[in-house]
Amino acid sequence: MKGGFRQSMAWLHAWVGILPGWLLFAVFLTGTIAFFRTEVTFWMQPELHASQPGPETAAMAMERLRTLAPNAESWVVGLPEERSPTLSLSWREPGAPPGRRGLTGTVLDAGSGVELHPRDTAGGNFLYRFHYELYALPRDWGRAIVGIATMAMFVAILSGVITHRRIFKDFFTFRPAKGGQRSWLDGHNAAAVLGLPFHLMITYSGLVLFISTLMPWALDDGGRHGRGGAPPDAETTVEKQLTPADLPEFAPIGPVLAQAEALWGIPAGRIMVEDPAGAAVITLAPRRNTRLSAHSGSGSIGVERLHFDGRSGRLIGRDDNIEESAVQATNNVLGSLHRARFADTTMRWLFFLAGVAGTAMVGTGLILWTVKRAKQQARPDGTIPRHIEVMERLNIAAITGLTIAVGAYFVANRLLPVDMADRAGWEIRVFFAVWAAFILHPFLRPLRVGWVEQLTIAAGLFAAIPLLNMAVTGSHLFVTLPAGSWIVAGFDLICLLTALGLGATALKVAGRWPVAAVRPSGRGARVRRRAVGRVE
Amino acid sequence: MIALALAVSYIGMLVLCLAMDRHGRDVLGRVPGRGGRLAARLLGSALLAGALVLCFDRWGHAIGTTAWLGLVTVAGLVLILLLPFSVRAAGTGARMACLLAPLPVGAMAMGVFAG
Repeated sequence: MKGGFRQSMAWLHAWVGILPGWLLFAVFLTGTIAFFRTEVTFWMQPELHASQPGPETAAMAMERLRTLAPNAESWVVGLPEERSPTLSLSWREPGAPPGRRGLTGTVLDAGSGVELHPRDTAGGNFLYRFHYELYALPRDWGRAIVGIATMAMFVAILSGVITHRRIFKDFFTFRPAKGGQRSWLDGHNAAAVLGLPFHLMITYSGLVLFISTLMPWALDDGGRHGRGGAPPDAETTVEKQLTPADLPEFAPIGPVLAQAEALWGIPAGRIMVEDPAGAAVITLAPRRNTRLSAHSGSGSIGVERLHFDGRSGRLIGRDDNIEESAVQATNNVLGSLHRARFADTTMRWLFFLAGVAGTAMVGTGLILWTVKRAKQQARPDGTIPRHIEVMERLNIAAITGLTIAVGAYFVANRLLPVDMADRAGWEIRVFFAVWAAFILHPFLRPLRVGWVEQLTIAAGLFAAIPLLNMAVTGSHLFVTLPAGSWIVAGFDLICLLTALGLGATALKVAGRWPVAAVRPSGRGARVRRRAVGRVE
Repeated sequence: MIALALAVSYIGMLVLCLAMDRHGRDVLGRVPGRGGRLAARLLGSALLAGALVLCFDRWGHAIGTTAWLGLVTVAGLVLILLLPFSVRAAGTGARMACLLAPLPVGAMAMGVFAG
């Protein structure tokens, strides 16, 4: 380490950034996609795409549960919403175990009520879980590894801010035409500085979410984090078999939902009915949180509850679940921000775009590390030391290799046989097999060729996704755009944009970037020469 | 309303950016003077503050602040990706960059009419 505070920080920034950097790139990329995890899962089940909610959806759900589960202890209706327009019904048969395991359920077309049979998929959930606990590792190990990398990320952000000498002067500076280290540094600075509020928030809140993994001894239950749950309630016995006709009439659900929407300002996302044959208490939950300090839990539904008498439709209770303790509220705010639990569609896009900037920050940082050292340590004959070559090959494997694996994961979702056994498992196997192949690939190719080939393959894969949709599903852009099915259309459009970006980068790296070939002439060129002359 | 907040954030960032030597020269063709710089900074800050008020109005204080940070970030990213083109495009480049301004104004009108 050389003298001087800023030099020390630059040294720290470089090393704390590069060592966990490849993992951090994967965490940022998959985590960014995970902001849309419900939407991604919906896209991955084309059998659901025709579902369009209508005004009678909720009433139909109640009627259907009466037929399907007259004996159930409770019913749960997942109403269609902007993130997934299907209707899900589930119920708990008498004596079923507590928690999710005890629920029986089905998914319906929210308009027609036809039962749907979506394909088995690992969905957005796989990418979501991968971003914080990796895969096939014991849960606490995966979390501890990502947690340590997160801490490194936090140190890298803080030391990066100190290292950046011209943080305000270069605030808007991006000179992609300059090439080499300067352009990468500009890109890295731009993505880092403009997205700084997001990067700090997401990293710090990520650390706080890992608190029970990283500091298990700080908790009252000695690190068991309350896992295991209560033993099943053994006293439930089945008394008699009811038929749908035995159930008394319910109050119309429409006015009940309207009351809730008037009170909350947003529609209900879930209807829960306790003891439908007896007391029939209807409980509603909003489709998302409307307060930052509300518990962010493990489900996208909001924490507020309204209770209604199921027979009369009268409001009998309200529970806002306001956090009493400031510490808990602070914890909730950080968790809510990280998981974007309160986000409507606009906010979700803002989080996604900031996440893209974060991914770009980590990616450009990795590239900058090798570009800078390759320049400094180049031998007179133009070759670079072997260890820097290895680092750069690992960059290819981590950046474009993972991008290809994600593309292949989506392609596999469309191409694997629909009725295949362990289909979701095979999607994940394709993801890792493809990634492994493209981790190996750069070691067999010259550096630049490795980059260009991987960028081209990635661009091709992402361009193929919307086309594949046209070949093997009925929900492609020519259908989804006119129908206004923005979840599916948005996914396809983002794939096309990604393909364009990757393709343009491939051309640029291959040295055939059209814009750079324009000869400087006229007034613009003077401006440009002056601009060039001014910089170091 | 959201389109309006985004447009205001974008114009705010653009004005702040034009107060700087490098970008003033690249986009407008001249380095801003002392008075112009001060005026641009005040106007840019005022516009960003205006966007914050719009966010409060739509989302309340807590979520509104979060949304505002997100909007300003995205506006800045869009701006930074567009700026190089004002340097690269020869001749009409500078004026082309000034044409960026009507784009958000269009979005603003859309925001007003969409309520």
